Amino acid sequence: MRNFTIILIVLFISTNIKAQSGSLFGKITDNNGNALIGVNILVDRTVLGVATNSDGNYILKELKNGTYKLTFSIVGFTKTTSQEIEILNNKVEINVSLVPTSYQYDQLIVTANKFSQKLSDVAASTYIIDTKIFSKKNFQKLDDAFRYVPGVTMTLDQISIRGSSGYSRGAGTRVLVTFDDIPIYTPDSGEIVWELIPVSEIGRVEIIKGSASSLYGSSAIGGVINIIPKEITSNPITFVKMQGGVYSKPSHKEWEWSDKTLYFNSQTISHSRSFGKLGISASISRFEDLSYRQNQDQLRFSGYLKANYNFSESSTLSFIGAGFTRRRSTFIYWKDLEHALSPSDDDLGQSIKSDRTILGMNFNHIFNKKLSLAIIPSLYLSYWDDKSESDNKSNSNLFRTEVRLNYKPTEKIIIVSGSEFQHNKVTSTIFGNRSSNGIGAYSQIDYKIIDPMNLSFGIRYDYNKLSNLESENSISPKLGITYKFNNNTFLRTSIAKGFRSPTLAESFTSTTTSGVTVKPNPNLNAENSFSIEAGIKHYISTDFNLDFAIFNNEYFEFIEPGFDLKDGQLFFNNVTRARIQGFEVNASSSFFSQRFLLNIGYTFLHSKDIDLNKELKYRPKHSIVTSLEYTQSFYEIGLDLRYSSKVERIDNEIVDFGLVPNGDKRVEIFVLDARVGANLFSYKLPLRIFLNANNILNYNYVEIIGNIAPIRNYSLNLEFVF
Amino acid sequence: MTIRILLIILFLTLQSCDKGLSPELADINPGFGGTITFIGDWDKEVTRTHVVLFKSPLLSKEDFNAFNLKYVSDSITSESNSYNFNTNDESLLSNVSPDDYSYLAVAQSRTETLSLNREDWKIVGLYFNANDSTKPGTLEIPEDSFVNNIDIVCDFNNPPMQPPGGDDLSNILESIINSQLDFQKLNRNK
Repeated sequence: MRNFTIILIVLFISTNIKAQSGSLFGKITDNNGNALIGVNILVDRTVLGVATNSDGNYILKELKNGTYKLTFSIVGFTKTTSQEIEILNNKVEINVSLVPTSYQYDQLIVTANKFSQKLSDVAASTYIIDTKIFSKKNFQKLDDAFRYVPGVTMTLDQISIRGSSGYSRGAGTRVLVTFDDIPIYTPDSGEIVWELIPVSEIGRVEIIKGSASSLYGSSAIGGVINIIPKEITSNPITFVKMQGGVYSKPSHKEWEWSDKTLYFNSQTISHSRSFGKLGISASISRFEDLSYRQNQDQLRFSGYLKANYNFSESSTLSFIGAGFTRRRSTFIYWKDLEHALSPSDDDLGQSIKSDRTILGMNFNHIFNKKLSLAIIPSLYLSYWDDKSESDNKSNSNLFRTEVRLNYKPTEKIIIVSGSEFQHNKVTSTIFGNRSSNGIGAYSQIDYKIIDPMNLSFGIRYDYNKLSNLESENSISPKLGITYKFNNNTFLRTSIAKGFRSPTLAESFTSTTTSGVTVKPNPNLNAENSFSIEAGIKHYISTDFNLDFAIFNNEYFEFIEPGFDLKDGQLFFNNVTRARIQGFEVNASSSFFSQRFLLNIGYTFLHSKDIDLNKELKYRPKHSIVTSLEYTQSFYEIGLDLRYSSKVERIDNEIVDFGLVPNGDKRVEIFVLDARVGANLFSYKLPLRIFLNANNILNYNYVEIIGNIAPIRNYSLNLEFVF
Repeated sequence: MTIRILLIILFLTLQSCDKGLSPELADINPGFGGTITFIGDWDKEVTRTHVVLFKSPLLSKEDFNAFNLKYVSDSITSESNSYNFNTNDESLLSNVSPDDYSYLAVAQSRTETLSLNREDWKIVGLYFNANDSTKPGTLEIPEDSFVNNIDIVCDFNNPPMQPPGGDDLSNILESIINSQLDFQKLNRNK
């Protein structure tokens, strides 16, 4: 700690020594001359970077005299790198016109492996969400977008990549989610609370499918979602978003529970600007939803702050904080299928108050061209109070810190090594008073053996101690190879061991909710996995590409919720063996001069509880997602269709015990959404408008038993940028 | 042309799909029914006879428990020649949902009140899958359907093999031990 303080002091002093400097500025446009907002501009071999404002302008001030290269990137356009630019006490204007492309595989940069690399060099299947979709589809939460990603299943708010998870009411996750390099699972239950991430502040989302425990440790057994916040702009930019919508009447008269118009609305204002070496981005938002279901209304207030201070071109300190306070009524299961949008009479009036906050810092220092250091401490504060019959409360916090070194001894080799420490403390009526500690150390080397081939090997050691239980140790290696067969064909394969420690919730939950009693199981063991996948990306033409991946995941001591037949209580138990196999096919095409964009993804899953010789619960065998978008001039029209076959197994025990009448009723999922939008920026109006009709067929389905998914709703989204 | 094809596909898709879940589905109760046929003389001391359904196999005495038990018919009148049952009719217990069930049988007891002690029960009829009377049959109840013709024959002179934990436990153990010895001999001869 003392050494770290000295480093900071030295860096601070060094920044106050007046240096000869200049600046770089300019405007980024598309090939039609329209300004592009949110283009990331990074200065090579430094920690400096900005984003363009609403006019497409950027400025990088106080650059020391020297030569620089700029990299311009934004999803949907070809990444572009400038020539060497010389700064000599002057201002240099660099204007760039980016070319739109669907031919991105060898262009996109991802940071999922804790360093920047080409997407084509990543051995695992990786999907990047174009964040423009959040505005176009009026998404309120990040997880809404995952329902349209091939190979990803959302069961209410619980994410599963390639069938890694069923449904456990948020107790634990098999997908690690990071926001600005900070894992964001809750300290007590280990779940992901998606509302913590402000949708308006997301710059990029990377989804890495398959085990990533070799780099990320526990919880990454099924994959990683890496969320990168927007860069802070150099010039002031203010973003105002107003959204409102209404739910249709239910398609069955019996389901109507209110005469009122049921609506939802949200308001967001955010501002980003830089003051010399200090950059700040902040937002506040409010969200209100009366819901289409009785007793599921909510009101949420959220806040977000990101600040960067560049001590020099080689050192930066950033702070990030996000949080919300929410009161939400509790809908657990329907009363019965004849009252599918109403809870049981006992649940009426119940609600949960929750406050969640994540605070994090990231100190980044580049020692030289070969070596850089990142120190990332964070604190997750969580409080919730279930104002229902169970009267459960939980107050918890999770402190975590990571120290990471990136070393590039030659142009062909990159080594990422680091260590992590975490401590969490929980005071709760449902989990008891618990604490846990964990440490991890990892190292990964990426070696470009020959130009088209990249070899990646990583290994990680983890130690976890959960309360008074026996400690768990695990070593997780991973080997990956990518091969660029030619400019049109890219091959990838990886083999990995994964592991996940049981969470406090899985080991110690003790409560009764809606008649279901959950009991602790302190004898839970950590689960392990062995995964292998192979994939190919092939560009048949610049406008048409195919991606195919096949995978086999073997799970040992797999943790799944189930009922103890001796006492009828729910508990988490180790299923000795499970196997999930499958394949994914994704096709992307553009036609009619790229006015039409078509994406189709199909996923086949074969999941098996090998002991019982039955399918795993809540894993659909077939899933299809398709999207069709037509863009003409300033407006666009889009259609999205998603389908999942009926899940073969659910929590039948809950139905057997009579806790959820008609709980076994379920159907395949078939949802069609439509949208129309206009971007008036090219008409010098700082406005985007999107009108969405979701589930336009008003198709009724469930993702878990006794929970009808959102019925048809219409929403209007207005975004002002100035 | 491409737009037309896409519009036709979209139109057909919209036309072909239904509205998913509806309240009417609540009226369809999955279950099963059939006929029990009795052969031979009834035991005069038997006080109750029921059709019973268990979710998991009866591999030990502990599997004979209330949580594993999913259906118990009303008591069948003694000296009956046959009995028709239906899980949607009135019964002592009915927790039948679409799933696979491992043990369906007709059981008799001599106790006055309904007992959950394995020792109090004797199996007099067992449901078998077609062409396999060597082991208890698996009953599959699909989604949204009722399975008919689940028939069981109870031959009092030739009762089926008893699950563990009953009066005939010693006989069963002897039979298991003998079959294992036979298996070992067979392996040695190979």
